[in-house]
Amino acid sequence: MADCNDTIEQLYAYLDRFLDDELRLEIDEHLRVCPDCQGRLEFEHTLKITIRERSREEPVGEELRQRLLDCFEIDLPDE
Amino acid sequence: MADRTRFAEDAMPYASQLLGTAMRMTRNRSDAEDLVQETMLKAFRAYDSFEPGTNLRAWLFRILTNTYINGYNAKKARPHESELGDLENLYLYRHLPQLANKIDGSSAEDEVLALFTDDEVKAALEHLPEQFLLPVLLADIQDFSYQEIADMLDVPIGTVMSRIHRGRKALQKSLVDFARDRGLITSHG
Repeated sequence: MADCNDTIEQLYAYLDRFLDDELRLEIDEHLRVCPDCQGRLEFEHTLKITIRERSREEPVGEELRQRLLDCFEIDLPDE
Repeated sequence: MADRTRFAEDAMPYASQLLGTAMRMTRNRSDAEDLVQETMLKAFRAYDSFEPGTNLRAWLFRILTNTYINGYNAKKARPHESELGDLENLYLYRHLPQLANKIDGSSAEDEVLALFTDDEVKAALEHLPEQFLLPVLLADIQDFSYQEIADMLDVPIGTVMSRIHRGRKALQKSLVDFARDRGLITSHG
């Protein structure tokens, strides 16, 4: 069975659902009985979501929007 | 040449995501806007070769990534991986109790993370070493799979995985450094 060290080592791969079934089940089993590791996993998940929410998009201003639309209007010769 | 109206309708909804990522790549708005424009123009000109029904968003980000790699290296150099020193697991997590003390001991993680400003989060991303930056942006900010990122960057999937993992640890180290600079964290370790 996986212990805390194994779980911490595999935390990111587990979070990203990138573990093979066998290892994932072992970590699942450990998480069920280890509140510390549950807390670690939850924190890494929350951090990932927070960072995503804060930097996923940047508003496209009207000027850039128009610039993009304009550039499709220019017929360029084929490269 | 692809139909302009159709391309604009299909691709323009992704412009704000492309710009968000381009800002982290180039670290300034003017270059980021140029990068997005060049990406959109390349995509428009190649749109006839895009297979309908496949992932347009992934296709656009692939063009963005390649355009960046081939000509938009950030003007200010990023730190080299070797400058980061040891990268530890759970680096930020271990500093949570100290941070929680700053907000009356509330241990709610999202409240603790709210101590970091948007600018600090963005700066922590922007200061990632070049080889970690793209995998982290594509995985954690834009939610692409390891396989999609491996295809975009043309590197093995195991390499993508280790760069994402090391990049996350480096990002946590930056956040802890920012917190230390502001006196939110006083002890070392």
